[in-house]
Amino acid sequence: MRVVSDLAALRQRPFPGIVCGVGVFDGVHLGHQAILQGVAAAARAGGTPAVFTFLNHPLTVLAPSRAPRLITPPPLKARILEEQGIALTIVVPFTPAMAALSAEAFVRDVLVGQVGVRGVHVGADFRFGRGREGTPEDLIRLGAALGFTVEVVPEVSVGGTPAHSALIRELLAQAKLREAQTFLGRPYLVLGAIQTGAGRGKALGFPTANLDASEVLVPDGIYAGRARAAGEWRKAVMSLGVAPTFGGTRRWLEVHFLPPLYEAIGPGVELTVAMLHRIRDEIRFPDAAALVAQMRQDVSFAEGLLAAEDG
Amino acid sequence: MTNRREKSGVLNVNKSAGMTSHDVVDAVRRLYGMRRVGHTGTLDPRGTGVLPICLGRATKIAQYLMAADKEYQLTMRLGVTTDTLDADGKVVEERDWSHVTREQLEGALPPFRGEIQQIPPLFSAKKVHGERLYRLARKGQMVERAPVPVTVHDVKCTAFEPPEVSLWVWCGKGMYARALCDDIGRVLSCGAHLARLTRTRSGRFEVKDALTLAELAERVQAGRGDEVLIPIAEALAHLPAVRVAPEATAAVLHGGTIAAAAVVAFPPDIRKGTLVRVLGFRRQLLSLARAALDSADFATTDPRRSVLTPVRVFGGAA
Repeated sequence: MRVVSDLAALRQRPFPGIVCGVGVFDGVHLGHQAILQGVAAAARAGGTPAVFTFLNHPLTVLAPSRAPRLITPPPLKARILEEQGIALTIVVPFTPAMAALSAEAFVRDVLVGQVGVRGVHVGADFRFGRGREGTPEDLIRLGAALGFTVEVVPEVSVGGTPAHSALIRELLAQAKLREAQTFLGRPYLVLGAIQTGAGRGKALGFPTANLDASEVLVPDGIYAGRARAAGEWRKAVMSLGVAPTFGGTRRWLEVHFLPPLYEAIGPGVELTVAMLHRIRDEIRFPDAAALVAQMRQDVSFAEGLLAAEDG
Repeated sequence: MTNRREKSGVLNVNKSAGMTSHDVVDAVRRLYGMRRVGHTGTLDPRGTGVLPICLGRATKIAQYLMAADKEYQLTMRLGVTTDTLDADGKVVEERDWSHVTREQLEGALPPFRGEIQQIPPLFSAKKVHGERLYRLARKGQMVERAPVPVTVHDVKCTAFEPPEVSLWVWCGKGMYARALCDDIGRVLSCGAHLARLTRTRSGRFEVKDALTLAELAERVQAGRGDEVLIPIAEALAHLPAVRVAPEATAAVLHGGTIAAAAVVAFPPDIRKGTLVRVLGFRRQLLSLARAALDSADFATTDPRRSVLTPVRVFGGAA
């Protein structure tokens, strides 16, 4: 998949017949996936299945204090969009300049002028342009006038509840991983490059691969799940929490593979972690022996949970 | 009695913090005892570094120097937004910045490379309806500002010491460093403002060669003020050059269009509309002109076709 952020580069029309899902797509949940399936189908006859999205949540400009953390930060979102059959992701910063465009200017100058869309697919709650003035009806009207097709996709519900990014963020904040997963259509994922740790785990017989967790939406604690390194999914138990580092405190996701991995993966290797079950809160232990004892218990508990899934 | 010929040329001034660009122009006027002095694009009062100053006939080329590429070294402060988008303003909001990693910052930069849209800061020298924005802002008027396209050729992180982050930026004309910091701060979900700014290059003028006003005053007092004046032909050296045949010189100096047949060397990488220097056969500067076609089309064009449209003629004396 190609990721393009310089709109001017698209003016040469390097991609034929762009059919474009437009939106924030945070989480790429079931509702988003319904839009993307339509995009892929419409582009099948010689077009380019694409997504036009933003690097940052629009609220970082419109109401910074209410701007949410992202379920899928840009690198993870690009990865998931690719898996959804999207060949081109156009990702631009949402800036005050973008927010100032009228609904018509956004469509005429950006989507038509710069991107050159042949079709635009959006969710029913899509709003665009200054002050969220543009509605899907406006988009249909503009499409007819400017020569592109418009598909408005109704929202997707699970058990009567519509899939919304805000709801999923709420579920994740409460560590309701299973419920979040039903709306996401996949486990809650964390993507990152392995960082060099302090080696504490290794010394205790529990080697971990450590990821920066500053953007992880679930609360601190111990989790069971799976982690993929070098193409292979493995069972894992992980600890999410703050650990002091040089120059400050940092939130880390420390991933311990089951069975333990000592050498196969090192700093810089990219790891995808699927967080599946919450085991317990973080506890401070009086000594290393107590900690190790608890970790042994966590490991066997996690193994039980994950084995039950396999069976 | 013959009139002493007015001095002419461009000074590469290294502006210190706290002066306005106009303060620098005034100081140069006094030093050189000249009225015709102008700068080549405002550098914020807090900003330091290269501010080319045009003297005498060189004021006529100020607009072309203004349009030159620039490089900046800047430091942004994460987590604090201000009404002026720099450290002089009132704090609008303070937010947590501790989640920002170097990887996130690096990931936020690529979308700011290329042609981007910026909203001119409310507190800026840009004119709207004939009045400077900062005057309107001081009167408390909110002004609708239209996005303006600017080009960022490249931007790199040079130091990551949160809450401070330093960037090197290479950009085209009219890029607002304050708006860039504000936009990047939003992408990082923590907000940011411009804390420090140094212009390290403007066209062919580099900060390593620039003189502070104090250094300039020393030269002038030592009677060596003319030595640091850069001639017009050299000041424009950042523009690509097209050489014409000796027999075409007179026509160029009369401001006529220039046919393909008169061109001795047409450089690659020229696009229709690019501003170029027109040089005579001995490489003397004759005029500035705009290319009427791309380099790629030059070889196959009709020899009689006009390929350069004159913009300003220098009469060979530059």
